[in-house]
Amino acid sequence: MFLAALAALLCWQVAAPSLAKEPVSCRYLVANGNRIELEVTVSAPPPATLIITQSLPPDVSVVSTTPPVKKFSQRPGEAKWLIMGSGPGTTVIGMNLSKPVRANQIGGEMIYNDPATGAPVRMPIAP
Amino acid sequence: MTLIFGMSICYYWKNILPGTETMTDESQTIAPQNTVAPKIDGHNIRRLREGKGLTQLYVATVVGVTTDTISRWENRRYPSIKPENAKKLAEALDVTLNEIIDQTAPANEAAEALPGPDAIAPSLSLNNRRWGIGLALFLAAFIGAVLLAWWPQSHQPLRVTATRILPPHAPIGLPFPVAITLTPATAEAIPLIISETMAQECAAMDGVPPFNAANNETRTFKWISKPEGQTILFYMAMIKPHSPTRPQVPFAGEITLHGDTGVMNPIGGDVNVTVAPYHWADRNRDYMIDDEEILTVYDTFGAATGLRLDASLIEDIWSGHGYRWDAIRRQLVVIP
Repeated sequence: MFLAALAALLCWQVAAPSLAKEPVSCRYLVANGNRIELEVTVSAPPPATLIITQSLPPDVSVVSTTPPVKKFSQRPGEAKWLIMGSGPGTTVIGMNLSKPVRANQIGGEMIYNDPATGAPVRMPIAP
Repeated sequence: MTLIFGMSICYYWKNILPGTETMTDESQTIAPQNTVAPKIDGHNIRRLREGKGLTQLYVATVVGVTTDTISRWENRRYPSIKPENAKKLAEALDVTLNEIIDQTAPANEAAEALPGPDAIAPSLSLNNRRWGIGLALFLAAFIGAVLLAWWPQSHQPLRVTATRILPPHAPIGLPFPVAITLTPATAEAIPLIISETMAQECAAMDGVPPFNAANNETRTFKWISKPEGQTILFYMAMIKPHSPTRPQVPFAGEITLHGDTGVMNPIGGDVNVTVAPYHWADRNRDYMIDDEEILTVYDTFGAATGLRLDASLIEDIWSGHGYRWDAIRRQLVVIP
């Protein structure tokens, strides 16, 4: 009985979403003009692989990126980074663009498999 | 074991029950009463978006929903849409509202709409349902704990279990990875032997860690291991060209623990690979490797340093426009 009660307590604690910490968070440092910067923060335990997608207006092209972009489509404007084996820490992804953009024209998305459950997690990144 | 029951409940609670706190953007709004929820023509939306060269992510950003929502709209799984989202969607696609509304379908009253991405039931009933199911799960955990306390010792699980992970399919001639996960039930490190016997039409290579023994005549190879905690063994397999091939290639193997001489337990998990002209990582067989598929590849096999996974081929397919199967040469051709 005691063990069952303990299990129920554990259940409540772990299930409480307010206590859950996402293993990855991402935010825009710069989201206006000819440059976009995204800050990616990975917590422990980190996911094995992470994909960051940056969407751009159709008439804007990419001049350069750091780190190098893994997948880029000029039309539609979409850049993807495949980040593998990243330990806990912070990484900044930068893009130089051919034309200035406004924050309301861009968006991003990060995708990874939750290290605890293995389930895919897809989260929008908003400026 | 009781804790496992508890954790199962946790997982169910957190990941399966649609709690209001973890719902995505489109579900946090309760559909207003007496508001007409128009139906959209999903196929038309996809056609318009692709015609204008827009990504789902771009449209999702402009409308203020997730890409999953856009995908559901386009697949007509939830054809109802809030009027304000319909307006934003039309703006994002640079078309009139009439062009995206499904004129053949009658508009729904939002208050009567089934729960979906754009119109959901109030959170109160959701919480009631969560509590009801939660109570039922708690009782199940309690009964499970009582049963386990009475369970005979002879039914206790193996000291180490071995589980095989295979891709669902593979083409002839393209090596694919196999993982065998060893999970000790206790902290004790138990010496063991893992033995795999390949089917006649299949070859194995490149064990990680290297095989300790291999017999080409019997097509059997073995590892000797002493896992401390969960350990994964990998190897590459290939359906051999020019050999009679069944529609499904079977996999079989055993685990023998030290102290259990003569007792061989079968390796659990996946036991078949279907022979099909699709890349083994292309799980949904659409001639593409999408984001979730490449994540699955690296999450499952990425830890195997030295495994010849041909990551460049996988990434080329992912970053390009897919691949096709050359039936004459019996090989995959990447479409850049």
